[in-house]
Amino acid sequence: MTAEHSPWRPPSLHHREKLDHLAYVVVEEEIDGTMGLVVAHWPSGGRGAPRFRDDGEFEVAVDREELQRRLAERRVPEAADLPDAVAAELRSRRVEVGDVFAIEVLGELSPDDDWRNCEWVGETIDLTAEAREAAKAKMYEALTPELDKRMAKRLIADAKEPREPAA
Amino acid sequence: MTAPPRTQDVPAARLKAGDFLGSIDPEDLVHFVVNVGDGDTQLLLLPQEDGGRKAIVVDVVSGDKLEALIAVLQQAGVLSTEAGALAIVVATHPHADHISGMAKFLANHEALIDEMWEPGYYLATPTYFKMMDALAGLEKVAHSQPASGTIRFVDQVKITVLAPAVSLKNRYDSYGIDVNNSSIALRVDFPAQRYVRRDDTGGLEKVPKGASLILGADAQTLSWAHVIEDFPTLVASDSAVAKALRKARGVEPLRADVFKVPHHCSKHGLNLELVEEVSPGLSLISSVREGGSYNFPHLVSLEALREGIDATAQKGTAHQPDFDLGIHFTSGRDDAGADLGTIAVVLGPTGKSRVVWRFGDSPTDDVDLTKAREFG
Repeated sequence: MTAEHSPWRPPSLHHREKLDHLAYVVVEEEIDGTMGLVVAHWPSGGRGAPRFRDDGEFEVAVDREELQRRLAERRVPEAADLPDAVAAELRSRRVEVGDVFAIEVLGELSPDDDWRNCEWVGETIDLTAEAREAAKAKMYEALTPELDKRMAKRLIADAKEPREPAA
Repeated sequence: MTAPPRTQDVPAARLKAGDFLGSIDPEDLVHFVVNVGDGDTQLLLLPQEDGGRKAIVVDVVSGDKLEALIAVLQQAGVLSTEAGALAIVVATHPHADHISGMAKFLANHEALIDEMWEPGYYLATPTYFKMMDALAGLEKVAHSQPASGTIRFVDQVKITVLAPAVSLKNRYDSYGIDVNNSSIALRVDFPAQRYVRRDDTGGLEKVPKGASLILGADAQTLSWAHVIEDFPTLVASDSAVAKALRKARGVEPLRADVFKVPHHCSKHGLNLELVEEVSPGLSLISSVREGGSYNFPHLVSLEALREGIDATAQKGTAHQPDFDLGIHFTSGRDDAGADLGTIAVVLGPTGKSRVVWRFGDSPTDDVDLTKAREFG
């Protein structure tokens, strides 16, 4: 399997062996305690950008409080290199529109099921930061040419130097 | 508790079969709000220019349905088949109910598309990643992330971006704003030209203002508050000096003949002040029959829309039926139970002539122009 065809593996999931059983879940909308989630089969892409199947996603509505309660039980604080207190806070934080989770779905991944009570939420990894970064990178990849390696090296090196004050 | 009576429906007697394509004059603009169920897909067929018409696409949920409509319009000779026929394709904001068909549509229509606009809000949804992948593959399509105040002329049509305000765009990356408030809301005016050259003297003569539409996308009240601030209604000065200098003539930048109601008429997408500013002749709502996950359209917003069009609060009297207030829903039915489906408004250049057509399609049917019924 090429890296592009292997499962998407952001830093929080580097050490996990199996990823195919996870669903990619995004909180897309919230109105009056109902949250709209986009649920997709786990994307491919290796350590690059996630690549999704053409027909693999659907939208479901869930009860916010049920989702919050379930996440409090099932959310695994996998964010790398964080102090325990920060990881604990991330684990219990309030769900927001734009959040992204890798969720082990208990049962079949079918749009016809009743998703509202969130009993389908199994082990959950919070990927909000990594998915957001991937989306931002995807936007730049789509709209600008690839950055020359020499230019990138220079930007990184110069950023480490203190900026001279204006004369 | 019994459900409130549905107001989306129209008596069959008010709908008359007719020749939709034959009814369109060369100088008319046609606004399609395609019935895609729970989502938005719009097509603006621009007035004829040099014998052909271009179009603007605003959001694509069901690419197949829109592609079929475009093909029918091209076969009928009312939409150009040349490069640039789709002058602008707008992805108003990256919610699936607005862009789920965009990736495929962009890939299939590159040869026809001049420009693609999206708000620059990156949302980590599968549809967003797919749309940006498709955009990366387009070699000849110009791309923009416009903000409030951007103006683009396409032949005799002026497109003004009302939202997002620059100050909202600048919050994408730090404080964060609701993705709905990244929506590109548009004002469309035609004819764009305000002067005509006189045959007798060769001098320029100012012509009266033409027709206008406001396409609200999913902008919420925060965004509309910025719009009202950025596009204020200015009262004309009637002083002799002001008139002599031709200044302070007064503008009503939010007044529009046709209003695509924001966010499926949700309670966060509309308020009375906005409706009063727009004062729409027609209000079009993309909606799903049973309300979808969020029970759109919300009654409280429908009431604001009705009151803004037909103020009765002080008198305490009931409003006229929605269809007589110019409010139309993609999810409406006639009283025989038939879907009303996709809405097309044939809008004349003065805005006074605005004819509503319905095509009887369900969200999964193609638009069949031969099934057109004119509302009257």
